[in-house]
Amino acid sequence: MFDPTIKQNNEILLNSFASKDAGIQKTASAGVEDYLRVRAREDGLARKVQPPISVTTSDLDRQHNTIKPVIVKDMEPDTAGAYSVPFANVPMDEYMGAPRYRIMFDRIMSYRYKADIMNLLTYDMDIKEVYNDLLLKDILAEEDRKYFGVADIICGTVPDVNNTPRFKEVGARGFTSVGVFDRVSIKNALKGLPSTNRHLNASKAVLNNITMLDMLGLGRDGIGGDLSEELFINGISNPKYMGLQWVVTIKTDIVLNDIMYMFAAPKYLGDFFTLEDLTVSTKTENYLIEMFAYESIGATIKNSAAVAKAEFKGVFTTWNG
Amino acid sequence: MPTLSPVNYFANLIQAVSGSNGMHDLQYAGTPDAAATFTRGSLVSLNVAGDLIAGCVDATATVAPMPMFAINGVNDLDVSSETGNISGGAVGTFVATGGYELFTTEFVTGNYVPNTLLDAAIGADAGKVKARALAATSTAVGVVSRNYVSATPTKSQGGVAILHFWPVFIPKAI
Repeated sequence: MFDPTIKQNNEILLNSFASKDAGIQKTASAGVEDYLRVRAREDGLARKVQPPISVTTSDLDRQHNTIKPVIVKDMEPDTAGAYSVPFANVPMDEYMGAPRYRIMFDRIMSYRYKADIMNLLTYDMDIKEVYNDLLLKDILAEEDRKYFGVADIICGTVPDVNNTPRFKEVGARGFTSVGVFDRVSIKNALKGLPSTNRHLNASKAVLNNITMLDMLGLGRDGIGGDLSEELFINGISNPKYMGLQWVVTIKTDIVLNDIMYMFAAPKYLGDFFTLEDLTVSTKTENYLIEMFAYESIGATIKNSAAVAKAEFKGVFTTWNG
Repeated sequence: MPTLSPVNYFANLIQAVSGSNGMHDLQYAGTPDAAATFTRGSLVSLNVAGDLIAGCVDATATVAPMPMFAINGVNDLDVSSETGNISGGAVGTFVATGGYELFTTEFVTGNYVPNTLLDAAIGADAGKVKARALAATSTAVGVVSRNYVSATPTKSQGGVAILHFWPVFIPKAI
């Protein structure tokens, strides 16, 4: 519905650009109302799995052979274990030390959107704020695509395969079939992380909203008690089942149907550092406005035993090959 | 992701000495081919899969690869990353049709007089430019803008030999 206030605000906002400096930097801001929304967009998914930590230049580690920003981080060492001996024996020796790894950064940016201010005057919606919100969602979607791309490399893209680097390292598959979505298959899925030689437990499960709807199909004997009735009446909201926080996403292009990712707690999983905060840059030059969003992050899934993937298809056999 | 061998920033260079418009440069960002190892400053082009490869093959009747010059090297830590990192995956380039004067470290050693046409080196020198030998027998990717004498080479601030040129795109005559 036409709102003269919005239109007036657009004029005021656009006029204010003409009087400001050529470069304007703004941080993320809220969404907008009063226009037809065509599609649902979602906040960052990777950030729910691995909460981001802001870092500064003082946190970076200089490298002799590159000027690119890098953070070097220590990993927990392994130990040779203990053994039994008779008396008058002395211990065997091992050197102390721990591995390290690097977190690398790059920039994620949106397309740059531009317009003649005259072409923006007749919109009822606050179009700059709309683009503000959409650009940020685009950035977060790219984060998720890359993060889950790495998860897929670690876990594999074909289920029930033993001869993978992950299997050789941690003694268990990264991706296996667990059967159709029911209580038994969820139980089988949750065996994934503890089945490795590092014995982690899943802290979060990530699946898409289509797959999650299968939860509504579980009856009283499937999920027990009055939960079945509650789900039937109220649907699913902020799910926490089987001791896991279930993260439900609409990004069905990243988290496919019938797939569930399981992640260990962030301290076992990897890193998510923000070196350059999510920023929307807006510039006006005479009658031309342009805006784009960018950020610089570095993130890792460094512990391959901290992520696994289950497919709610087929027949479950084992995680250990 | 492969194991990396990053190089010092000054070892392989590309620089727009004139014509750069800051945030509005004509650039192209693409995915390097899985087997690519080209450095910053290399001549690159797109293969049939749309991935960046070193060098620039000649035009056919229907396809004429666009020469580009790599702003990033494949082994840069913001292009390829070590296992587990999510960063990387793209290389930025200056497109040859942009209005620039560039210098690059990636050229075949020799003498270059101004106005020398450049084309793509092949084989072990793939990714470098060289003086075009015969007229209209290969795609021209640049025109030398400043005299270069190998005995007294022009050098960058880092002490590496550089060749100045204007990038062009003149496909080989079909």
